[in-house]
Amino acid sequence: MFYSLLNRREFLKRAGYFLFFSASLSSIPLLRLLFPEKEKLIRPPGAVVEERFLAVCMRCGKCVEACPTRIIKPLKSGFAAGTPYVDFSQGEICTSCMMCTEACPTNALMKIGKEKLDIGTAGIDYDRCNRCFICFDYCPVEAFRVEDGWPVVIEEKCIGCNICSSVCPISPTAITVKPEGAYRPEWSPP
Amino acid sequence: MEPALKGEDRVRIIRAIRNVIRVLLIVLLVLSAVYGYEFLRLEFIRGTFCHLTIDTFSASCPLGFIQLCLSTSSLAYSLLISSLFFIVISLIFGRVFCGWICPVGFVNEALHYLKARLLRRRRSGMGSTGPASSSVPLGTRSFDRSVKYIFLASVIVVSVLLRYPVFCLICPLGILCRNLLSLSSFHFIMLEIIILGTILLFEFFLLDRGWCGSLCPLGALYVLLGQPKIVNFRVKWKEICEKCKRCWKHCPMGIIPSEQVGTDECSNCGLCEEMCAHEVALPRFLHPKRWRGTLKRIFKL
Repeated sequence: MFYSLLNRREFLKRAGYFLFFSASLSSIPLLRLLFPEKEKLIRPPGAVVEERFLAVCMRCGKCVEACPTRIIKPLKSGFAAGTPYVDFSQGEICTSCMMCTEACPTNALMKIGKEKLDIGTAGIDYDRCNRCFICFDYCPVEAFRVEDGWPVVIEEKCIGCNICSSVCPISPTAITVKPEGAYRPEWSPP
Repeated sequence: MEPALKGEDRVRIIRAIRNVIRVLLIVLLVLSAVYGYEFLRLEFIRGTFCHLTIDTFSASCPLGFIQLCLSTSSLAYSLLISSLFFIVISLIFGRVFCGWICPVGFVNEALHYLKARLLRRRRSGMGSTGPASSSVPLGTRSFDRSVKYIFLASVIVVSVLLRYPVFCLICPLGILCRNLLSLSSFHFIMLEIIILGTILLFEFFLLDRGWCGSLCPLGALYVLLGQPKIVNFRVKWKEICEKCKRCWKHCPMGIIPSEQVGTDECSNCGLCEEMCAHEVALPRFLHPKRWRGTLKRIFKL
């Protein structure tokens, strides 16, 4: 019955296939260790810690479809291609609707409540700020304070919703949201 | 009672239904991504074949589920329930996902059809009288079909060792769906489309249905799941079969239905039934097969 396992040629051929497939499959994650990503990305609300996020994200695109303001986009290139990231370059905002976390089938976006939402922190370019304080007025979580006549972001309060950036009268906007300070929970199975 | 000969101009109903289903699935997925939000009211269709939700019904890729569970060493109950759909249909109908749902299989078949048309035109231009369908039978050019089970095994081993769902990175089905989605909603395609293009070119120039027949680990999983299938196309009238091998020439999986070779791989697409000059191949209820002999048959132990 196990003739072909004893048949050396067949066995070696299959073992060769196995080694070839394993090597080529594992080369993809290993290549990433050699060429790590340079810049961090803003991930959608409730995204788990980055290493785990890359492992559990199915790249199914449901969060991309669910987002009403279309700020969640699939990543174009690189090792993490197809994983969702938040693109604020069109001046859209995150409305904290949490539809993306509801849509995620693998809990790569954990179903956190609105109160825990934190996808980044706004940063003000003081060279271009004209101190109009519109951002101060529009911020939904009151994350701005005044310091020597300049608006300053309180990093603990800011949730990175991009509303301040979208209302900023300066063009291009003087406020950009950065991924630092985001809330990245631990993963638990769905 | 003897089966009648089929006319040449008969309507190929199974093929029509199959193509309509596959085109409709792709079109609905794309439309729900583009216009669904504004006016088509297709919000109830969400996701791709990695994980698909239609209203309250959800279906997910069983290989994705297996890889996720293995790489995180935990059991995802909700994914288990949603992957049950594809598992159950393959338990009943065998490898029916490959023949009736998979868009990569559809693209492959379309290219294959195109190639056959081109070859026929060239051949008729040269004045020779080739067969009506000049597609080269897969059986002559495919390599070892057991390779895909080895690929599946290495996918599972690597995803356990590296704790990472490796196949999802290169899965042509996922890549096709993702790119259709991003193309329709954001008008860009991702770099990973190169992998899909390589596979399609490989199929077009080197091996007909080489990916689906010999390499796809997802197909291998569906073959293994589909062992106890109870509905399958089988040759019904063995005594009048002329062994013309038209069924074999058209079979996308490279099975020789007239000799019952390789019926494990059958995707129940029904092309053999449509191509048969007689009414020979028909879906029949099979006796439930046992999984025990499967490995023996696949690896010819």
